Amino acid sequence: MMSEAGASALDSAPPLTDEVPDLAGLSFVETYRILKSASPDLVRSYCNKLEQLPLGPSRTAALSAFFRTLIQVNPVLTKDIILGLKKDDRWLPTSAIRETANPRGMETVAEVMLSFDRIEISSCSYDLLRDILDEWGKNDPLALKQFLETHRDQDVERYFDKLVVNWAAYDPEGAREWMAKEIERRPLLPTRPDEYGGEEIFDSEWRSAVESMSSAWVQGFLAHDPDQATQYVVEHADNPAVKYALNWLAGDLFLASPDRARDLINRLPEEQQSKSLGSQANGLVRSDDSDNATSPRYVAEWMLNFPPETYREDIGWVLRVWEMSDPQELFAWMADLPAPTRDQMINQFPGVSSETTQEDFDTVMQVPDPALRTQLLERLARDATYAERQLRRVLEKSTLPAEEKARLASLIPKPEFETVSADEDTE
Amino acid sequence: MRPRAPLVLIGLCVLVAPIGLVLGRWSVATTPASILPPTTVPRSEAHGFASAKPSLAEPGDLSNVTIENLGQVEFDLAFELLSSAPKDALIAWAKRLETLPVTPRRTAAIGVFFKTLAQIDTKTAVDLALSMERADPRWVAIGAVGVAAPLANLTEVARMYTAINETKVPLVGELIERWSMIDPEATAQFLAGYSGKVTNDEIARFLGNWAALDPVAAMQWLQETDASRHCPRVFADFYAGWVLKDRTAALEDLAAHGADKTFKKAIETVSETLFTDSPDGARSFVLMLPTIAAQKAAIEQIAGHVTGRYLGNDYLHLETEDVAKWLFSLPDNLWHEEIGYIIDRWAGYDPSAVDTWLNQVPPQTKDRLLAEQCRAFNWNVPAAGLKAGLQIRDRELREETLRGIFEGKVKELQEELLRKAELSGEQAAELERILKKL
Repeated sequence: MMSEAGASALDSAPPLTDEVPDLAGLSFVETYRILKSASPDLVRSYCNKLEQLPLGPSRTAALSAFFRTLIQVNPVLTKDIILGLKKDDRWLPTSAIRETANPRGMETVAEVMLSFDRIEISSCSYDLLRDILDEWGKNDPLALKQFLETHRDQDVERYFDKLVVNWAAYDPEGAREWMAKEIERRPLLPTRPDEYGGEEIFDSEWRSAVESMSSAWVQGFLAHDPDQATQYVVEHADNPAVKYALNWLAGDLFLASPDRARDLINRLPEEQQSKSLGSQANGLVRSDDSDNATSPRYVAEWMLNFPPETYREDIGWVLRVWEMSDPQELFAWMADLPAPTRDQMINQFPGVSSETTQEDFDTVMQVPDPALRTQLLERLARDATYAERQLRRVLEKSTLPAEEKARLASLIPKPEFETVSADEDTE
Repeated sequence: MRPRAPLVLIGLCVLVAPIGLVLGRWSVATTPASILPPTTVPRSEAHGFASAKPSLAEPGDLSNVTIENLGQVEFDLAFELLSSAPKDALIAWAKRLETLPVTPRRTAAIGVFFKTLAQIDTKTAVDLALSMERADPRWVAIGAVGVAAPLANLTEVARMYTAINETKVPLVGELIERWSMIDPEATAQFLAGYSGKVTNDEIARFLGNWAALDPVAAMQWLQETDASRHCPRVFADFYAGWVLKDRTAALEDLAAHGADKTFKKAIETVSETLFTDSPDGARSFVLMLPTIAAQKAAIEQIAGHVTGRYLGNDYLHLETEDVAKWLFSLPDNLWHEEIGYIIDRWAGYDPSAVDTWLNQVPPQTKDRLLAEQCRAFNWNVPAAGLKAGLQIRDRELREETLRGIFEGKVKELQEELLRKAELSGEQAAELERILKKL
């Protein structure tokens, strides 16, 4: 049942005035009612008055509440108002509408974001527009398709993969047909051998967009029909789009069904099994997950269903996440493993870091099982190539017997090159 | 010459991006024909997206709206549906969303449902989000509630994060930033009882808001809080907020702490704000600062916007000419390190304006400025800098400045500079005469 405050706000609304209400202090329902009842001119007037407030959190709060509600009431007017502001003044409203827009308002959000320079909304590590388009595509891929098609002049091909991955989840063949038309419309330029034995690539951005779309399609298809997609992947494992999609496929399938993910990996050619398994290790395992599906223990035990040569490369990451979140649970698990498997885990145990040498050492010193503890200390020593000096110092200061210190120190490889690290100056 | 580290970094980024593009490329050479995944999927209307969209007989018709396709209807309808639904229906819908197949559609549906509900009835949205059993949908719901809840209902969001009891990952940054805009005391009370992780950056934003509303209370909180919070970023935001409320008191207090390096970032941040508002105000502040180091921190922060120290955009959009003139208004022991770069930049796009300005200063000072500009010449476009050096009237200073640039450089570099300098015959002859003495 709607809150009483909300119900009464709808039923008994006070008349609107030119005075801007205290939007930040009102409930959403009240603000929604006010802006819905106001004429566009009155809404613009409110905005102008809010813009005139002195800089500070009260102004930010008021403008934020105003735009977060207006995007729900009237996305077109919202876009109009924001695009009428100076560019520097658009950030606050853009941020406000990004967070709350209903999918029907996402076109407005995208249009507003495209009014900024590319460098202002994206970098090597983030792309604000991509996040919005992904959310939009999940809800309404056909609307997103229309948007992208009508904004080709604004360098939006880089986002085609976001459309395709979400569209293919609903309608893989429809998405594929569209991709084919896009390539027909703008064919890829063939590559050409260069003088160094490689290949010269032309129109690289479009090529990259097409490659991304193609592998995204496979991902979307998996979401649409995991069984059919699994069969498809196995049958076309040598297709470049499918191969590239393997970076994510098993991980996506794992979330739905670890058994299905295992079956898929087992059916892949051997050389692709390890790569596919890696997607679980790197992308899925969560140290804070109380739900078994992606906890380090669950993922590690699932990976042990495969031969060592398949999981060997990637289980180290899972062990690292587990060690950071619950080392005692990890050590107890390792101690209970059959000897050959335990040895594999010891060989893949995270090495010591030059920045956290003492902490890494202290963690291993807490291993309850003496034999396992010794084996792990030996592992740290043998793998200390990039933390050789640090580990020697830590060993020296430790409470281990002198003989044991010397023995472990003798296992540390001699460095190829003398390096000077910053922490030497501080000690 | 001082290294142009920022430009090198920008160059690296530009270089890495296409390399990343190439490395990300598939290792197998592809032909256009094989780049698409092969088609083999029979078209099924039952799975087509068109069938997922609700077909509405008329506006306001909710009969075909399902909770899974809430994101495909206008907000009005979604609002009407959720605000009129009895609580049992909301509970049932949340359960149903959780049991949908793990697909983007589920994520989308959960996001829309909880974003919409959080705006209408935050308390119920929080209760339902916390009741979800599986981690993935629960976190989607929590995230949606966290971003969408209105300012007036943030106590409910606080309750949500308290119940989650996450201790390793910082979660409440956005909550405390938003909440402190309208109720910093309540935010502080929440933080006092919250055992989760809160970073100093998050504390900084909270405190900045509080200082802008009630600097006395904010300062008291800062004094009583753990010393680990007494870091440059927190002080910077604190003073930035205080300046908005009571500029005079804030600047006096900051100046009093100016010798302490912990306050350097605060000096930099406040200087920027002052300059954009009033260069004279910024100048007064610089002159208030107790040490040369503090003054230089303020100056370099402003000058950096013009000399290209900051990667990406200059977010203040300062005019080079304004910065040059402002800098020159300061005592010369403060401007001489930075002014050369700034004049050189200015001359790069408006040489006649630079000439006009320089002709208005006393000759001896003009010579000094030309010498600074020359020493700060741009290796890629050295013409303006070198020509400035050749304009120095005082022969000794002229020769010393130009020799200083070429001294120690290998012959090839010297020749490259001369080639790029595009000097007139007379200028080239003068330079040659000077360099003969090397």
